[in-house]
Amino acid sequence: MTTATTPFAARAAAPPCLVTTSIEGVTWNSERQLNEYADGTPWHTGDMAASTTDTNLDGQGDDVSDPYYAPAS
Amino acid sequence: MTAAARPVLIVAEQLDAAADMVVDQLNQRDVPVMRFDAATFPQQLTLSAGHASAEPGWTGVLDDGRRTTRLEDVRAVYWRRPGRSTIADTVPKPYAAWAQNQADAALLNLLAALPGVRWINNPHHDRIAAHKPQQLTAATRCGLRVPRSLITNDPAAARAFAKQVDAPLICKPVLGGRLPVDEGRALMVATHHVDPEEFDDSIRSTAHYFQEAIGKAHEVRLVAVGGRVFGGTLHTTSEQARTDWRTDYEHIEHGTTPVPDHIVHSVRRFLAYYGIVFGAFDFAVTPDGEWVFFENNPAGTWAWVENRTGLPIAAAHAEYLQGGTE
Repeated sequence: MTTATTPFAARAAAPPCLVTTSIEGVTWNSERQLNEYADGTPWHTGDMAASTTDTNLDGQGDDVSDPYYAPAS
Repeated sequence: MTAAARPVLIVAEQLDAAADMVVDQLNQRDVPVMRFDAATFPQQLTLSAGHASAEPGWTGVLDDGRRTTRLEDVRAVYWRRPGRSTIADTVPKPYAAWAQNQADAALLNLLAALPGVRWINNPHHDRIAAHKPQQLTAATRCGLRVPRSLITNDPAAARAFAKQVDAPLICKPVLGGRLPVDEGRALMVATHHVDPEEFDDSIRSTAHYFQEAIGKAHEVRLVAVGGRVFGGTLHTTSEQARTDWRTDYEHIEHGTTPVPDHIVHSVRRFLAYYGIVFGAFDFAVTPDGEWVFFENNPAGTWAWVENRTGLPIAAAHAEYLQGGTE
């Protein structure tokens, strides 16, 4: 039986620090083509989580394998 | 069609703050916009394009049921991390994967084939621009200082590097990405300090990326777009955030900084080298005030920088997409 080896660098693996932005009360305005609060204020002007790891609420940060997904490359 | 009537395509997820910011700026400039997520193709978005036998160039139509854009009229494309094409559930598995690849390839490459269209950024260029080993070479060629670095699967080479540097070392992934160790949330390998005494044969299991740890007065998320350069500072107040600020957002104070002329010049050269106009760069500023390049994220996040600092990054995107700057 072989012994499992964890790569040295991967021993530091930890849950990513995700800071999520609230989307409560936010709706899509198909005319303006952006998200806004009920009073028409654009969502992006509200308090936003200062995070590279979930800015787009997709759990993807800068440091993902292919954030600029281009499968047809 | 007049130049002013030519639309900008925003290809992004619907819930994307950066895309919202850019659309808002374009709306204020009365620039026509068609925004859609690539994930809506082919189920909600309809695409038809034709190519003649002798005359170069695709002509055709994109239609999302609410807006229609002729491909030949497109002025610019903001390709902002869209989702992948979504194939209907009625298509069984082996065919669905094939169909998804067909859809992805068609949408991106038809847009990429349009002549004279401005991009932020063409993802074909991003793919090359994203990789860290090439970035260090390009950055130094462009006049930037980078950390002394070693990529190896040889523990002896790692120990020799540590001896040569004779100062604290960090380890970071060569390539980003999550580590799906558990069934729940995937893990992330952040930049972390390492003790050379602990180097062992597990280094042989894959490539490892070691660097000298750079002393930091603070860090900078430098956002460059369309020739404009913005410096957002990150002053960290915990050891964890100091090592990799992405691991401890609670201990970061945001601000702005002027970017020295020689850094602006180097960043512009760096972007030109890769043929891209946008980059979210990470720099350390040493206690002596020297700027040290860590990496560039060619599709990096920036909405939080504008949101926290007021730097007019979205406006710079809009100016470029509109055609106001070179």
